Amino acid sequence: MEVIIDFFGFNFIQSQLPRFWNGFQLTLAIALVSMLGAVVCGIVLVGPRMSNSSMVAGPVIGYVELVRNTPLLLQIYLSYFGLPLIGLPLSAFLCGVIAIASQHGAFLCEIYRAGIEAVSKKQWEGALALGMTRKKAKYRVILPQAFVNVVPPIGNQLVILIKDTSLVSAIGIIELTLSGKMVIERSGASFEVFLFIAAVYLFLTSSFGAGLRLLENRLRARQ
Amino acid sequence: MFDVFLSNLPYLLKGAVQTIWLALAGVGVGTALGLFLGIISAMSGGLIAGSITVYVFTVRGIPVLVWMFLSYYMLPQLGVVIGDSYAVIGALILYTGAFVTEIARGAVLSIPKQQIDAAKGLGMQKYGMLRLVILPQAITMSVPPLLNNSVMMVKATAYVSVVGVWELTYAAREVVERTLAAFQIFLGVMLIYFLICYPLSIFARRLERRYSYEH
Amino acid sequence: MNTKPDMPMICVKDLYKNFGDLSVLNGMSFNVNRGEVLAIIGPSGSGKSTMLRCLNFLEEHDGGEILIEGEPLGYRVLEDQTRVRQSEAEIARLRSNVGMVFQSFNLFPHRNVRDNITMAPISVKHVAKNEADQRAEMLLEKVGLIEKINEFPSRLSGGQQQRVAIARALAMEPKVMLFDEVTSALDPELVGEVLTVMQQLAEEGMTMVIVTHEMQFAHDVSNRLMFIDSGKIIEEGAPADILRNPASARLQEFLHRFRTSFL
Repeated sequence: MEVIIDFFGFNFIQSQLPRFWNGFQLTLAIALVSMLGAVVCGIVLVGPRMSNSSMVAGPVIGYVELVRNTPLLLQIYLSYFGLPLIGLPLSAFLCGVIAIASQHGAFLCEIYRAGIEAVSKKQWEGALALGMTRKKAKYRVILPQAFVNVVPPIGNQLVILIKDTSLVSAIGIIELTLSGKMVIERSGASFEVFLFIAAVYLFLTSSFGAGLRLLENRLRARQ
Repeated sequence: MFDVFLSNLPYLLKGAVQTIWLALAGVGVGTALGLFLGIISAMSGGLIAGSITVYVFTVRGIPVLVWMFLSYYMLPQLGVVIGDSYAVIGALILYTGAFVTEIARGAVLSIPKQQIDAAKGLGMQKYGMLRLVILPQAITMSVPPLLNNSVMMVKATAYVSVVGVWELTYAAREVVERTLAAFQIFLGVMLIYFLICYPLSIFARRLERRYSYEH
Repeated sequence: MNTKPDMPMICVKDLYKNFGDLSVLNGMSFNVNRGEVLAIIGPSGSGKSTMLRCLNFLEEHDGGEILIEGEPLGYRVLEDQTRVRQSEAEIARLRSNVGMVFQSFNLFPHRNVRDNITMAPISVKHVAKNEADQRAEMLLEKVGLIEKINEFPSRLSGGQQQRVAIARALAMEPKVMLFDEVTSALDPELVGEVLTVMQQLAEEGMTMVIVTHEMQFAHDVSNRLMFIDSGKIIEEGAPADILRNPASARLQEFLHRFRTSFL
C-alpha cells in the first residue's frame, strides 16, 4: 500500500476516508439510540423521583446520585464486563448504549424535575381554580409549560451525550475515535488524523446545537 | 463477598491517589486559566472576547477523550517530550478552562448594571470596581458551578486510562483482567469515585442555596 | 478642598441626549447654586432621570456642556467646538464630588453596612480605615441606623437600605447630592423615614437636586422647582408659585393627576 503523506496529511486522510466514514456512522448510531434510551429513561424515572413517598423517591434519588458522581467509563466497563457474568452476553454496542442511556437518563430526570418545579405553584392554583381536575391541570397547563422550559437544558445534555459516545472506544467499538486511533497505530500516521476527527466531532455537535437553537426559537415564538 | 475488592484495595487506593493528583493539577490550573479568560472576555470586547469565544466553542464541541488522544499523539511529534500523564493533563486543563471561562464570564455579566452605576457614582474606576464590587460577587456566585465542574472533571480523569495513563480506572481494569471479578471491582471503584465526587456535589448544592443574592 | 463661591455648583448649558433615534433631552440649561435645593418633577419618560444621571456622567450627553464648579464634566469642548472625552481618572475625580442615591438603593450585597459606607472613601480617597469607620458611625447615627452597622443589606427594609445608601454617598463628602426617585421603590409606610433624612440634609445647607414624584415633599423642601416634559424645561421658579399657579397647560394637567392642593 502506497501512502502519500503531504504536509497536512490531507491526502492520507482522504485515503482513509472509508474507515472514518464507518466510524462516523457507528458514532451516529450509538448517539441516536442512546439519546432515545436516555430520554425515555429520564421520563420513567421522573415520576417516582417526584413522589411524596420516600420509599418510592429514595431509590431513584440514590440511583441518580450514584450515576452522577461516578465516571461514565466505569459504567460502560461494568455493563460490558459485568452483564455477561449475570447471563446477559449482550453485544458491545448494546452495552455501550445501555451505559450511556442510563447515565444521561439520570441527568435528564433531574432536568425534567427542575422544569416541572419551575412552573410555579400559582399555575397549579390557577388551573385548579378554573375547575380543572388535577390530571387535566397536569397535562394541559403544567407539562406544556415545563416542556418549553426544559428544551434548552435537554439539548445541552444531549450534546454532552454525543461527545460521550467516544468512550465506547474503550470497549472496542470502532466508532469515530477508535477508528482514528487504529489508523494512527496501524499506519504510523501522524496526529493530524486526530485534528480531522476533532473537526468531525465539532461539526456534529455544533450542527446539533444549531438545530436545537432553531427549535427553541420556534417554541418561544409559539408562546 | 467483597473479598477480591478488599484484597486489591491498597493497589486501587494507589490508583485513587494518582486520580486525585491528576484532578488537582488539571482542574486547579484549568480553573485558574478559565477564571482569567472569563473575566477578560466579559470586560473586553471585539477581538479578544471573540477569540476567547472561539476557544470555548472549539474545546467544548469536541470530546475530552479526543483532546487527550490529540495531545498524546501531537506533543511528541511536535518535539515536546513530556510524560504521557503530563500530555493528558494538558487536555484536562484545556477542557476545564473552557467550561470555567463560560462560568466566570456569565457570572461577571450577571452583576446588575445598577451595581456598576453605584460604584461609578462613588467615584470608583475600572480596577477598583472590578476588585471591590464585581469580582467578589461574581466569584461567590461562581463557586457552586465551579464545584460541579470539578466533579465533572474528576470523572473525566478516568478517561486518561483509555489513552494508557495509569490511574484508578486503569488499575481497576488491570485487577479485573487478573481476577475476572468485574462486578466487585468496578462497583467498588465506582464507590471510590463516589466518595471523592459526592461531597463536592453536596457542598455545591448547599452553597447554591446560601449564595443567592437578592439584588 | 478649594471652594469657588462665585461659581454655581452645577451649570448645565444646552444639554442634548439621544438614545438611538429617540431624543430624550432637547437643549436644557439651568444652574444649581451652592446650598440650593432644586426639585425636578415631570411625567415618566420626560427625561428627568436621564438628566439627573447626566449630572454624574452615568449617561453621557451628546451635546452641550455640564460644569461642576466651573469644571467641565465628561468632555472638554475645545475652541474649534470639538469635544474631547476626559480620562477615566478625571471623570472619577469629578464624580466623587457628586453624591448619588438611586431608586433601587444599589447597596453592595456582599458587604455589610459599614463596608458599604467605607469602601469608596478608603479605595478612592485613600482615607485611613479607622477614620473612615468613625465617619461611617457618625453618618449612621445621623440616618438613625447605627445599630445596623454590622448587618448585610439583605437584612434591612427598603427604607433602611435607602438611608444606608444616603450615608454611603455622604461618606465621600460630596459637594452636591443627586436623588433619583429615591422613594419610588418603597412601601408607602417607609417613605417618611427617607424623606426626613433628606429634609435634615437640606436644612444643613447641602446642595441637592431631587427628582421626585412626592409633590408635597418637593413643595416643602425645595427652594426652586423645575417641571420638565419631553426633555425640555417647561416651567421653573419658587415651588409654591409654580404648584399653585401653573402657567402651562401641561403642568396643569400633570398636577391635576395628583389632585393635591398646595396651600
